[in-house]
Amino acid sequence: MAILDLACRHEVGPFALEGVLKIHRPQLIYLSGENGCGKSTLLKIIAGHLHPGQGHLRIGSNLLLDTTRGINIKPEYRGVAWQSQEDSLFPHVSLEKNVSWWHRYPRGMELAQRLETEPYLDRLPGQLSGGQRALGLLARTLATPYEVVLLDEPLASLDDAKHELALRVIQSEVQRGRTIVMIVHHPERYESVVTLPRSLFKIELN
Amino acid sequence: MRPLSRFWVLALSPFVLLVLLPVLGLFITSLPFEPWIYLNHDVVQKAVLLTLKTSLIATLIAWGIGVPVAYILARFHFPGKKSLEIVIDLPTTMPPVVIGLGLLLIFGQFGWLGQFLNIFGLRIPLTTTAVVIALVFRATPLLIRASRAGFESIPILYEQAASSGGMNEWQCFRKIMIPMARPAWMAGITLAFTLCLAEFGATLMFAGNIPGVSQTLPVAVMSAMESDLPLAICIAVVSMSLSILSLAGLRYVEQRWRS
Repeated sequence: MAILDLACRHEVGPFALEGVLKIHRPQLIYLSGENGCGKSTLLKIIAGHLHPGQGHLRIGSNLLLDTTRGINIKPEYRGVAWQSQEDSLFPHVSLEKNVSWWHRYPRGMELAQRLETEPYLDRLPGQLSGGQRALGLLARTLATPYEVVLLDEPLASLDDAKHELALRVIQSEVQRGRTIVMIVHHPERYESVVTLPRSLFKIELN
Repeated sequence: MRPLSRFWVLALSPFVLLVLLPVLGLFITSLPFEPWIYLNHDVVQKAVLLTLKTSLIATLIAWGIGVPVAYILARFHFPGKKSLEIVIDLPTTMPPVVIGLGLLLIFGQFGWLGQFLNIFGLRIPLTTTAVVIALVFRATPLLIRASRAGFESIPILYEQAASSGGMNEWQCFRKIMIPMARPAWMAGITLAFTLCLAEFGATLMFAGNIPGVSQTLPVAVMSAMESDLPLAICIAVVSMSLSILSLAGLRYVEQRWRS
């Protein structure tokens, strides 16, 4: 049984994002593609923040979306972690409450430590630098207990050293059996990048 | 922002004078009557306590009713939304006396709700409860309008992020939306509470003019005007001072919470 099995067709103006994505075993997938090819849209469809015109989605044995049968599970019940391209740290609570989801997922503290953000845990997001916020956001997303993790350009604002650090932490999550789809902007920096074409896509990963 | 130039001071002054004149006039003309001797007056004390109590309760109820409605209007579309928006604005556009009459007709002895409540021995008109209901009616639209603007200014991104972390709609509303919109609904609370302190028409019509039960400060002013002008002026000064103090206090809290 595939970990993730998606088929969809979603029209955005004159452009249609259409194709099939299948992932068979836990791995880290670098997803690339030219601007506007639908990378972010694809992640939002999987996370449940965008409803495609047609499609179905299974994660493991769970059917999350089937437009022919009117099935559309809400994001909070999908068991999919998703992080937007924009900074979405909750601005009114400390980094500690952010990464641990109000102490709901204590693993956030461990991840914050590994991402070297623990000195700032008592600060509000507005009191952090862009790089610190990006690492905090990554800790928060990875703190969720979900097997499938979708990251939309999580490393864009990091310098080389922090980039390496964050990448090591992301890679170690795969060792724990997680499947991570990560959008990247400079495909030359990563190994075996999957490119999302502008036309019909058919991506099958073993 | 830049320092105000002399030219714009000129444009500002008519408005400031317009607002300040009656306030100053009231304070100054009240002095010969020595309003402070009336401060121990039973009517004054009862009216102050009643006004504060009913305004506080009504504002809290209006918050509880208004904030969810504001969120619904800011985030969802549904059939009848436009009509609901008109209904919400009705209490602010209708004469307060008309609202009071409407409430009286519904809750009165022969009204639909009044007849029903009568079965349980409950009588609403001419009670303190009636004052609170009238105030909630007037105050809720203000809270809805202020809070809605606050919710609308929060990017949808935060709700998406929260739901992808497994937070359901209620948790997201309570832990993210309400705290993030706090400056907006706090401004609404200020508006609502100060309106409650000043409410007259709906209260008088629906709750009457019973000292200690439904005689709020504005109603007491009118009541005293008929027999005792110095007392009326004293109550008016107290009422106005209370409004100014509340406004200043709540604005201070707003500022503190913003930073």
